[in-house]
Amino acid sequence: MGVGEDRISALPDELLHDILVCLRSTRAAVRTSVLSRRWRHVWAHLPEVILSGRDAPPPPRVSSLPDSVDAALAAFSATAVLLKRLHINIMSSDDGASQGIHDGRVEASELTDLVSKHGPVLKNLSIFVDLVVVSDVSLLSDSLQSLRLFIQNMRQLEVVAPRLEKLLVWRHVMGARISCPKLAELVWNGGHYDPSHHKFEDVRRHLRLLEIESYGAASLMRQFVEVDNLKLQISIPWGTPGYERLLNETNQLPKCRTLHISLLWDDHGISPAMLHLLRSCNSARKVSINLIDCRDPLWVMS
Amino acid sequence: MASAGSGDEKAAAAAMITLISSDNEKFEVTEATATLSQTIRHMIEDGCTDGGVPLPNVTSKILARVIEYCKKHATAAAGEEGSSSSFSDAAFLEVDRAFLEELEEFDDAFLEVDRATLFDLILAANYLDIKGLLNLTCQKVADSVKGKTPEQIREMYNIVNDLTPEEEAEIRRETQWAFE
Repeated sequence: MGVGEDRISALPDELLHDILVCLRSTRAAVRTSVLSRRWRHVWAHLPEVILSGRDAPPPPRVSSLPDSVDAALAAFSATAVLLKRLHINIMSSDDGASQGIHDGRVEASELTDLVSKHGPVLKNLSIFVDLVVVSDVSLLSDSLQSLRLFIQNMRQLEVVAPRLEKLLVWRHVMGARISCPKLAELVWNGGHYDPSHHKFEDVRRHLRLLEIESYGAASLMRQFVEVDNLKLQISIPWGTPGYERLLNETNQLPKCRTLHISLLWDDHGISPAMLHLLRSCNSARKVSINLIDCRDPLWVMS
Repeated sequence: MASAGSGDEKAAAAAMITLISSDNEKFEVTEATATLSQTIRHMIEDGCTDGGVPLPNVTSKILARVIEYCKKHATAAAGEEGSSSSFSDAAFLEVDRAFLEELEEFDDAFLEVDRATLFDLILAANYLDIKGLLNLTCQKVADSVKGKTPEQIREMYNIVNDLTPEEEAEIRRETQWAFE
């Protein structure tokens, strides 16, 4: 084991892939292709591609999102059919000076194209983008198993994905049609939930995980009969009508094994609301409660 | 293991396994420590650990380090199992947090090794299939490469550039978007 030995190049490809994935930047991984002949094609078989605005702004000459992704993927060898995970992070704050996609904004149709184009093998997809104009987003995929959406300016969201098991919706969405018969984990931070505008079709009534992080979305729970692990973030509205609506929305919680409640620490109505919640869910075997103190940036555990 | 009752778990925790390094040194470890390695876990499940588990790809020096890692993290795993069966309370969470911090400090200190040892640990973690250790060590290498130019990376890891200037120029052309 002499000094000056090249240990890294002697690693098998799978371990070099593990290391390159840890870079969390496809660009940085691609740059290793000039290290030596050994490294030339290592990155081209990476199982995961991360296109991140902060670390890897899209190429300036490319005019659309699929093209910029393709610029990255095209160089992947023709046999690289193993691309299973794709993270796209193109936020406007990263590069405010330029225009179009360069300022981090894309058109909704580009997302649709992207998903259908890389459909057959793509399993995990995360999208962090701002849409140029408020528009509808439609994602149809036979292969996706996990989808995380952080999309600004989304009006109507359509997700039709027969194999999707995990879905996370982070930004406000006015309407939705979710058709995912295998859905087992749902994280909803998509703003106010209205059953007449946000439609879950073909979704099982039993979930492994339901996490509701939007205030005003508690009634989403009614979609489900049983949830193994239920996490709720709740605020107690001022005034009688709002308070009554909350009690009404949480009248019947799904049957669950563990229940986690985050409440904004407030000086009104917290005790009766808590009692109401706990009474609505007598099946839980484990209950934990987070009280969030608005006056204190640190969460107060109680 | 997941379905085993607490009595069985105690019995399993007490069971000892002998690991034998490539230079024939023997290490006695608890089953809980050893089974952080999926490779060894499968051997135990197949009932072929009597008389010790020979690990011809791992030297005693590296195996000792790997065991040190597994011991620490096996304790952590046991702690997690315990917490899921009892109600969380403030004091418990406090202990939990302190323990996680301690674990992080342990990992940081654990990675204070020379490059040769780091690569030996990566190979051992891969061979023994210890996911946490593999992630930890690969991340360490990735962090050392982050933000470095190809020239700096070559120098750091003694990589000999055997590409001709024409070839290198060609690769840079093909992957220009990654260099902009």
